[in-house]
Amino acid sequence: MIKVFLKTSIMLGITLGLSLYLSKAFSPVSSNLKTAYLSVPEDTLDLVVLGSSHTQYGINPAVIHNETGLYSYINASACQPIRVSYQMLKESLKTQNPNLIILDVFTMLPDQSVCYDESIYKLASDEMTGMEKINTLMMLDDKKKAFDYILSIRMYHQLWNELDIESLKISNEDLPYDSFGFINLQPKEYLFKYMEGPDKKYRYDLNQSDLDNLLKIKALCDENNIELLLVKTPFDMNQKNYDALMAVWDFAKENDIDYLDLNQYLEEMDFAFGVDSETWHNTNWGAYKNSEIISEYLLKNYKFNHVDNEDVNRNLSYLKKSTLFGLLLNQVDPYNFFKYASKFDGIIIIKYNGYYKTSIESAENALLNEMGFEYDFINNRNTNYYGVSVNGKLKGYDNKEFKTIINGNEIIVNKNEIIIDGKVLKDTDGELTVVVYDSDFYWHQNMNIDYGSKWFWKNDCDGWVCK
Amino acid sequence: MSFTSLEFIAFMFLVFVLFYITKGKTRVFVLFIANIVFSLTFVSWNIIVLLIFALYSFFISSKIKKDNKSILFIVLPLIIVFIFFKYITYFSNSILTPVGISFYTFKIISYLVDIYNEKIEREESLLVYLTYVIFFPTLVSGPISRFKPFIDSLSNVTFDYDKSRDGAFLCACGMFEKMVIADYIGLLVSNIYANTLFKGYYIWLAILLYSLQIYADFDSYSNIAIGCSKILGIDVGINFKTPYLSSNIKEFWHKWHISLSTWFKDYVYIPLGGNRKGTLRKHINMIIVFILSGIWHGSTINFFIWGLGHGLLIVFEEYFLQFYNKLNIEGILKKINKIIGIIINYLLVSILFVFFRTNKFIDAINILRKSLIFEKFDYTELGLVKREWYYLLIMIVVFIIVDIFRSRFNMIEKITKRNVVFRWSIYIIMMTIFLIFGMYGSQYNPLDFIYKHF
Repeated sequence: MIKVFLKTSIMLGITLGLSLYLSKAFSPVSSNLKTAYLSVPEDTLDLVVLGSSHTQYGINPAVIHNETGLYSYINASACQPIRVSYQMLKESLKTQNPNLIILDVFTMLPDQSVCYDESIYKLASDEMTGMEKINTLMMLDDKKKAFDYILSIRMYHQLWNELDIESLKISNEDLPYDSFGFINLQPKEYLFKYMEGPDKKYRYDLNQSDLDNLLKIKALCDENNIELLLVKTPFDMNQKNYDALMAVWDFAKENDIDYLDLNQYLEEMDFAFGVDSETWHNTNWGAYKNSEIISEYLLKNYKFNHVDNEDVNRNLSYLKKSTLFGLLLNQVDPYNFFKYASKFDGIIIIKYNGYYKTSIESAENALLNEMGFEYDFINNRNTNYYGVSVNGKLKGYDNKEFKTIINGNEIIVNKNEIIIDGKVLKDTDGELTVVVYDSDFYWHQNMNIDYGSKWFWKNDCDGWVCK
Repeated sequence: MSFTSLEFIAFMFLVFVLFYITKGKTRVFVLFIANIVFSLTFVSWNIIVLLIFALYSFFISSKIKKDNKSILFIVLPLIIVFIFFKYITYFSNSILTPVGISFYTFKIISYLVDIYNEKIEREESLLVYLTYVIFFPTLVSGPISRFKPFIDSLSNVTFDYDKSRDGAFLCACGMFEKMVIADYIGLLVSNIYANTLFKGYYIWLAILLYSLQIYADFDSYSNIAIGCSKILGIDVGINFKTPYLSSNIKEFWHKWHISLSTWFKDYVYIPLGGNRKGTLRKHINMIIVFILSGIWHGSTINFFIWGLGHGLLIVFEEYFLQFYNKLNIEGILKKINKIIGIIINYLLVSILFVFFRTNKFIDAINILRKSLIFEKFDYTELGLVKREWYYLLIMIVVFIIVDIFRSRFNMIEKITKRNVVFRWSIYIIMMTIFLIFGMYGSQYNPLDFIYKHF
């Protein structure tokens, strides 16, 4: 009998080993690689954000870094239930020792039912390893599917007719982590809809399992000396969800858990549904506003043991580039354009044709200064200014024509045009033109302002009708 | 619980351990409980019908006397209930045929008739008898084991490592055969049968492949059943002996579904007079047996035609062989004729299987009609890529080669008797092929064993 047990065990071991190898070999390349989160250098993150897709779209680590210098990562997944967040927290602590965990509470609200699908466990488990992955998959009602996801050869073996010998080699490469879990959603419509707040609060019974898991998350954070902050990013809330959210905050207060409800800051942020958010997900523009508020809250309320890391900085610079591109794309507000251009690294070209009637005011002047153009545009309104700044530092300027070479690209700015490597840029004929390039000269965005029309947008006019 | 499920493997391992750590009556009790647990994994009322059959036959067996009428009256209620369940589905789809009823009814009848014929003695222990009737490896689709060899091996079971290992390997081969070969071919066959646009070569491909599918499917089931029984030290006989290597229909039926063929021979053909009452009567008896065998499989007219077809072929063949044997062909020509015989036999069996595969007579006729309209063949029309097409062809060739080996010697023993490196290499190769080419996982809807529905 011992022989039987021994041989059965060997056979099971071989089968398991073979299955694991083939699972790796047959899985699509991306799932073969180390998860992006695990690719972040160990013990570098200051805060980790868990929760639903609301945080993936609503909190931008690039902005948090700009505002606070902290490293953050959005380790969230679509509709991530609180019990899955608990597993994700355990997964997150395997390689990182953050000072703060931010947890989004969307899946404690009634509207989480709209996104319920078994795939949410699969999606979350894709970002996990070991027992946390297994625990998450075992939450699936269909245990056979769970088994398939654990030993993915069960799912992917039918791909044998597409594979070649090369694909049977297992890659140990890291998955790039340059998005830091953030998903960049551009506004699809440029409407400004301000949401009206719900009426009043009434009692709402939260799901007991969610509350239990929330307490487990709190306990695990306490055990590891990590602060916990609950957040809710803005979304188009109805009364029922509002009441549920209030119940979450009541529960948080009772259990000494800190929380930050960004829905309470809508006015302060000038948060407009349409440009800043779709029904569920915030756009890149909205995420910027959220992240600014969060950053401010973090600096006021928490202490971090931040250590700079070159690799993380390098990866953050990719996210910053894409963030800036998204923020400037179709940007209609010149103040925001100037503000975002001043916040992120890049190459800024300015073409200002002086005119005595030009009405540059102190706010614009300050923003231009922050972009690196240390110049008094108010008192020198008559004088032309053609200059270039790189990463917020002035490269040079002239009032007739300015020429420079940056990263091998020749830039010429004069009264009539901006020329890059011999090519005249289109659409640069404003009295004040600001062009923003990324450091690789891969993309650019520009804004033209004619001060004759400034009066109209300053007075919030729609055509000739002004407020 | 399907034989090819992980649950069954775990269940079988547990039964194996419990079976061998106990002895005597406790061991029989363990097996009885395992049988009940296995039965309960199907629709719950299945077990009620099964227990009624078993209890009825157990208690009525004490009334059996050497009197023609008594055995008829004893067996008749079983046959009536069996016919009711088996053929009620022809009229109403709301009542399902209990799983395995065709097989355990025949087991019970053989038990009762053998007592009547004084071939065996009545079993005194209800527990032992129930264990025989409900024996889980053979419950769903046989083999239809006889009482005496079963009970002899059960009462003499001692743990024999080699026997259990051979049994386990046979089970593994059965699962491999089912999930790598039968189900893969089954997908292709279903695809062609379901698509009314396919004609000519495509239809012939489906006709020829279905014969392979049903063989691989039923043989795999039998191998798992026999293997599981062997693990527990119990012999339940065999069901197949490489039937497609037969050069005539008579030989085919000596090698195909042997436990059913011998049952019909012992309990229908011989009682009808067999070959003892002249040639005409013999041929009528043969046709009756094959018609009964056909309608045993199902209630549609197609099964009747399938049985009748085999009956007529076997009668015709007898006349033909009488003529052929007079030619006294020897040497290489005899070998060539043998190969031609195998091919013709395979074709005839395959054509008759069209009636077996289709539900309605008109469907079978349509398939045969379309098989005569030839058009250009392109495997991509079957939804296959080049690699899948070659895989299919290689699989068929390997399957035939393995069958030829199986006809010459006992493959299981041949492999398990070799040294450890050879043995384990075979295990690992089989496991790798299974993991890559097998039909399993939630992406794939596993096909039931075909004979589960009989």
